[in-house]
Amino acid sequence: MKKIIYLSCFLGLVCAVAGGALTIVNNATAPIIEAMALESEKANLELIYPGANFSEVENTDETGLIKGIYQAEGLGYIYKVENYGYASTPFTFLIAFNNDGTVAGYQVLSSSETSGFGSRCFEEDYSNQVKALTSADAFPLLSGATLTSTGVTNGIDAAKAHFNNLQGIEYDPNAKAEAPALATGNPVSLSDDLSSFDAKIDNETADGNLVTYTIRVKGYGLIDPEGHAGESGHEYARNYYDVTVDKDTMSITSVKMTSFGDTEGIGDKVNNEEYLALFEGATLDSEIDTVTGATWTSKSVHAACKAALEAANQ
Amino acid sequence: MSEKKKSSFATGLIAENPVFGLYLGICSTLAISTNINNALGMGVAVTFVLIMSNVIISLMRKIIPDEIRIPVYIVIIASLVTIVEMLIHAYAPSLYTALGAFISLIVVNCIILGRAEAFASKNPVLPSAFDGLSMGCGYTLSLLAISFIRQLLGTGIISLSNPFTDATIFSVTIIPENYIISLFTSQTGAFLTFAICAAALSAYVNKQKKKEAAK
Amino acid sequence: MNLVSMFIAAVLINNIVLSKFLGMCPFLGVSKKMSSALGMGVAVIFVIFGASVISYGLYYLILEPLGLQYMQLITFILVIASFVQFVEMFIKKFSPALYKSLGVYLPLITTNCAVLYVAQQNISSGYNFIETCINSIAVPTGFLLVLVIFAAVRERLESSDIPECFKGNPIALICAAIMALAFSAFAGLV
Repeated sequence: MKKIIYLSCFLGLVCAVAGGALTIVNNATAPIIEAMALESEKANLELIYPGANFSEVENTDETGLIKGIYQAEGLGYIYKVENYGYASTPFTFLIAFNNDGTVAGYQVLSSSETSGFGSRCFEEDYSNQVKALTSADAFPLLSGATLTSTGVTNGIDAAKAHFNNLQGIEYDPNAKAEAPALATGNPVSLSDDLSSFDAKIDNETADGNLVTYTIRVKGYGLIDPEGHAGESGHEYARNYYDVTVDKDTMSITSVKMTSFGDTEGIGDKVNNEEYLALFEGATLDSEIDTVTGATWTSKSVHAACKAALEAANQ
Repeated sequence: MSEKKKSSFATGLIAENPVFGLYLGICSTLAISTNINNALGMGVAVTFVLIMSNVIISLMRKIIPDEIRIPVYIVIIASLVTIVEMLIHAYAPSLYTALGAFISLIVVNCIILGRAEAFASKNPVLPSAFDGLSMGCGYTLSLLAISFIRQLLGTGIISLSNPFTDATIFSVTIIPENYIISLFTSQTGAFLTFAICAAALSAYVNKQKKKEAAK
Repeated sequence: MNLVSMFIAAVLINNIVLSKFLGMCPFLGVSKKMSSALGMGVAVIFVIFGASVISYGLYYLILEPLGLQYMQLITFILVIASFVQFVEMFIKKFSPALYKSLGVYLPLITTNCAVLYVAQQNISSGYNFIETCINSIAVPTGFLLVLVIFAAVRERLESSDIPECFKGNPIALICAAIMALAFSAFAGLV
């Protein structure tokens, strides 16, 4: 028994001496290491607050998404965020808030997200949207780039949480940004010549006075003579719609898109409940808006509805 | 005495080469040996820890109780390694990023614990220090040999840079880029190089043995 | 990160022996017979899992709150050494045959680079508890897999005609080189 106590004490003593030696060396080297980390990060921080005095702030983030918090003296706070989106390697970006809560900067440092889709989260359009917000706002998602923008907004939310906590700003952590309203305009009439869209009816099911047509229509990619097929290596296919017509009133009661074959991120804006609802009640001489920036695909809906109404008329 | 020192040094280098002869410390040998910069850095770190641990353990050999000697050795070696890691991180950051987790893995490098157990615990300070030096040099030279072959055949360039300032000391392109065998920079190349070096050493040692037997 | 893809990545893509070069000593030492290779592999899974979980707990409950992160190495290696000691006593009592076949290699699990590497990796990669558990089981499973394959190959090597200077470890390393080449094809799997 005495032996065990002696052995444990000896081991404890050795550990204590070792610990003491380590503490001394740690105190000597830790400040040097910290200064180095700040130096290497400085180049990035200067992108947002050029020439400011930076210091590192303790990272109390629990989400694990924030890799560094830096204070620009008298100006604001910069957060280095790393998260995963669609790619298997994570992306890194900086989000900075001025002391008054407005977004001071949003800068991507590295990203391997898909160009044309996820990479839009780091391009001008979305960046400008972000820079117009404040730390109390909810940051919007980007349609057609769901995984990436969810990763980005989760990262920004983590930064917001820390910043608002620090500055004592009230905000609702569960608020979701409204999806930006679909911009529509440039109405097209169903009486126009839409034959180039080559709407073909595949199937017809009748339920009383309602007839549902399964229609396949050419969209942006397949229209002749423009011939966008093969553009940017994208595989285009026809768009498929289920259009229901009320034979009594000779009008559309519902439009559903069942298969999409145009450009993802652009044409698929058309596959939106609110937009397709615009076609309800349409007759052969109605005028319905097209989605801004997705004219061709919108007109494929027009062509499908026109074909359905013409078929119901027979 | 000098003869004995020389022959024991040679033993540590060739016949009882810790890496190729005794197969100790091969984890870091295979992982670090992609270029001679890293090899030198790692070799110096290991040699330092070896000498210091041998000295400390030899100094304490009379007072360490036999039952807990292994944990005590481990604590001593672990603290030395942590100190070395902190120093490298502070003063040679590029070496720190290159060696990564392998600096802290020096503590489980069989060479250090093996020598502490086999030599330092039974011998006075100066011979222990010298043993540490010779084993460390054997390790460093083996590491350099593999790194040299791998870097030469794998990238065609032999270069050395100062770990404290990142300044290049020299950089020589020996094999033009079209003729390099990039296999050698991968894991397979590491195993192959190691196997061939080990076989070469084994052949040499066998030949020496045959000569001795024939005498 | 998906737990399943983490598991597969740890076993196949970033295999601890063929990709990270850790755990080489038992890899070359114990793989001469299939039975001892299996026993060693299972023992290593148990040790790495136990030691990693304990180290994880110690780090986040004691070291980090007290700001003693620099004591990490000493703490972890002592945890590993004691855990291996405990496992050794356990095996000695409940399976003397296994104890005998493992011989000196059982206490040598303490100096198995893989154990310390996994314990440290769990901290440096910032894994939470579940991820730590999955990682701590996945990595030694990869070790077991490679050890078993290698043992099967080496048993055949015994009866082959090998040049004198390659006998023993050198030819084993050449086999390991070919295995590493095979495993490198898993890159990009997940």
